[in-house]
Amino acid sequence: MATSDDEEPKLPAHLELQRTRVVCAADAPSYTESVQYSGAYMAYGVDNSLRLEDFRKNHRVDIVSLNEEDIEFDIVGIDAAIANAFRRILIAEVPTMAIEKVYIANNTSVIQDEVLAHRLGLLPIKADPRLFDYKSEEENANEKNTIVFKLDVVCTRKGERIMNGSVKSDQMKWLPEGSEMPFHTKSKFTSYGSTQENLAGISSEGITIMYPDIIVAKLRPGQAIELEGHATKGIGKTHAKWSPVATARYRMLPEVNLMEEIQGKLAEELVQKCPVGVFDIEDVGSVKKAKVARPRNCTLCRECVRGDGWDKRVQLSRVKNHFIFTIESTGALRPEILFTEAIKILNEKCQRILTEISF
Amino acid sequence: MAMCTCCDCLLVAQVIGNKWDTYLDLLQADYSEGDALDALALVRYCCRRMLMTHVDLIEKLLNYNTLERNENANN
Amino acid sequence: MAATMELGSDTDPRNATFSISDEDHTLGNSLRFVLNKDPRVAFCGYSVPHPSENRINVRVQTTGIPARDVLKDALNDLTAMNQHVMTTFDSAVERFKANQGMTELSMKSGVTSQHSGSVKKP
Repeated sequence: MATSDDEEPKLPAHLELQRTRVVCAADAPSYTESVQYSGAYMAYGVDNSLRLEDFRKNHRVDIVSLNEEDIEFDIVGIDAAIANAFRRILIAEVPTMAIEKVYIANNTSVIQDEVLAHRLGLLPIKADPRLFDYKSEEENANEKNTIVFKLDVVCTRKGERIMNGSVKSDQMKWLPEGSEMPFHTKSKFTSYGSTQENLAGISSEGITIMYPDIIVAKLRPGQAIELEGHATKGIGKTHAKWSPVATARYRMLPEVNLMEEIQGKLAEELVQKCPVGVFDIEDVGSVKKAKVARPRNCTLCRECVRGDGWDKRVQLSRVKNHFIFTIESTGALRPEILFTEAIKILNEKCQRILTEISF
Repeated sequence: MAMCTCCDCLLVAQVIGNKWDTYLDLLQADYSEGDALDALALVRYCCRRMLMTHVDLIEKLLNYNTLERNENANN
Repeated sequence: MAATMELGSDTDPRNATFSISDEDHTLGNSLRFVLNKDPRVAFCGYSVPHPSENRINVRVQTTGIPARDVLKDALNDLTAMNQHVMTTFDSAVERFKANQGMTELSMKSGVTSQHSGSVKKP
């Protein structure tokens, strides 16, 4: 344990490197594991335990870019275990709405019923899943757990023109009052004749398919499709159609170090070697010197450490507790909301187990 | 067999079902495949292959339209 | 069957295996991380006994106090960490949106910045 209070004991440089960096040599990366055990550095008097105050001090989030669909941010000071939990939850456990049941009254198109139903399931629905409840198989549909869409198209020939030759997703019509064939679908919305339009939180444009121009099917004159699609709330673990993200990914911050001055011909060669433009040439007087200009671009292709002697000149590593997180939403929720939802879900998991072991 | 363009990229679930017609238009306008896919903002190669390797087989099947043949026979 | 079971001995509460249903690596790995970072934990590991069974086993061995108490503390710590990540993230988003409102004008006039978000306003 530490002998003096004024100076925190430090790890020797090589161990500190192994603890905080993944070093990517030409052959293979090393020190990829994160040292979790609290007493791992006891011999050096270094405490490896997690103290909440330290975590709060070191934790940082910087947004790099943000728009309706994508977010990129740096999240510093967390372990891969936690970052990965967020990523896994985003992909598989944040709920959205998707068409789950399709009642087909008529389908004379060349696309088989089951293929058509599958395609409809994949259409992203622009509805806030937080407004809805999960629906169990036995439960009846009501305005809180089901969104009903109707598709009714007939392809006709008008002179030279073919009408409804391709069915687009904006022809899916939202039925806020529920199914129009309740006898078959057993899902007329409940008694008080309420419509989903009056539900708190539904935007004035109503509920639509996220993109208006997705091709659902193609028809020829005489062919027709008449169906109802019933969307319910679900999670990506059950079926990928419920996954709220196109991708949710993170990478560790790349770090590029020049171990010696690289000048002249070598500097030019280094700039040439890198396919993503990490290096730049700096003119110092008459000498050309290489410098690391854009380390974030580095994909760790390790092209720069290939070849004779290059692994001595350049060292590539990744910072173990600095993650560059990217989330691409499919549309139901904004990406920054998706991330906070994911954190909430992880908290719910913790709370569930806490209550279960607390007696 | 994917007759019609897939709705989503099979790997990352990026929506691509609304891009096929634009892709064809771009090719008609003498874009190269690569430039057309760039113009559609498809970055990943999994999403790019969805359009690039797609054969719109439904167009072949649509040629055999029994419904319209009956319609003509009635007239 | 209970959703979470503690499998241990009556006489020695220091060592126990917690069998948690409906959970996977998402919680298992995070929990192992937090538990391992606790100085009172002598050993901690988790496993997924069977891939088609939705259940994880978390083994906790402590240096003295009951394993169950350590697990409770770990869950509370994890929640506190998450809560902190969430508030930090929310304030970062707010800061970014405020900044973006300001930079939008300069963006429109042709000045583009790749990382407009990380540009700190004086």
